[in-house]
Amino acid sequence: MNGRPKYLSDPDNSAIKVLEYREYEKLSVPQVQAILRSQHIVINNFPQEQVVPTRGPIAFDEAGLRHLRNLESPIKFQGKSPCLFSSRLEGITTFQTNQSLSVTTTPCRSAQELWITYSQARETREELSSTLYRSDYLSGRSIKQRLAATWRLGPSWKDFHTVITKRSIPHLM
Amino acid sequence: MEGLPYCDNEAQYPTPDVRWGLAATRGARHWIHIDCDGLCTVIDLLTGAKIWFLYSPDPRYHAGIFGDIDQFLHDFDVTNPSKYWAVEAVYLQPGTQL
Repeated sequence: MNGRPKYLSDPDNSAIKVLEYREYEKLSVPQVQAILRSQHIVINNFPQEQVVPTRGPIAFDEAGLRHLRNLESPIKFQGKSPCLFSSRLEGITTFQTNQSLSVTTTPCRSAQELWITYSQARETREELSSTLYRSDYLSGRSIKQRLAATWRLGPSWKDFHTVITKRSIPHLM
Repeated sequence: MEGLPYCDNEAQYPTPDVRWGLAATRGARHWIHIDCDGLCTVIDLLTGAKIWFLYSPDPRYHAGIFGDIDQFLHDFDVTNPSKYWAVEAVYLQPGTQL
């Protein structure tokens, strides 16, 4: 509205209420709940140490990922990308034959294993277009052939869309 | 939640099962969805950024539009929001909690 987001130009009618942390921490639980009846709360300058046990900057790297969980503990991964399963080809059992891959869960020794796999693959990767992916299915190319070819070329970093891990650090919200 | 009156520190609350870490490369996106079970969602940004689109009933139409389950049936297109919704976006950065 007038070049400004609604939560600034018309805050009373916006679905978003923006608060500074120093304002938020003064609110009682009933006051917070009263806001949440009609609005989502965005808190600026929320102390990072209340989320993870560090005040320093966090980068998108292995050290940063460690803030989410123990990278050495076993974990299951879900996803549509064949690259997620490249290190465990034998684990692939439930792909469908249509144009889209089914969501499959496969065990992985650890989140660290997956991270290392992708860090190495990124150095040698070549882009595979989604058109090629689709054509593989239309031509009836087998999953193993496709995966083998994909792995030789190096998986596309774009294929590593999302990794969801359970956070293992209990703390206050 | 833990430590508050309705969930003290001794409560057997499965915090690790309701709190998640999410890592995604640049350009990753979610399609339109309702967060799990309609529960309140809290998100803290640690690195990078995320733009969050919030859909609500468009005041030009009836406010009960989200009570109509038919809108999510009949091949609902998760990439194409309904014309009956209003949308607001907020850009989240490290140090922001929604």
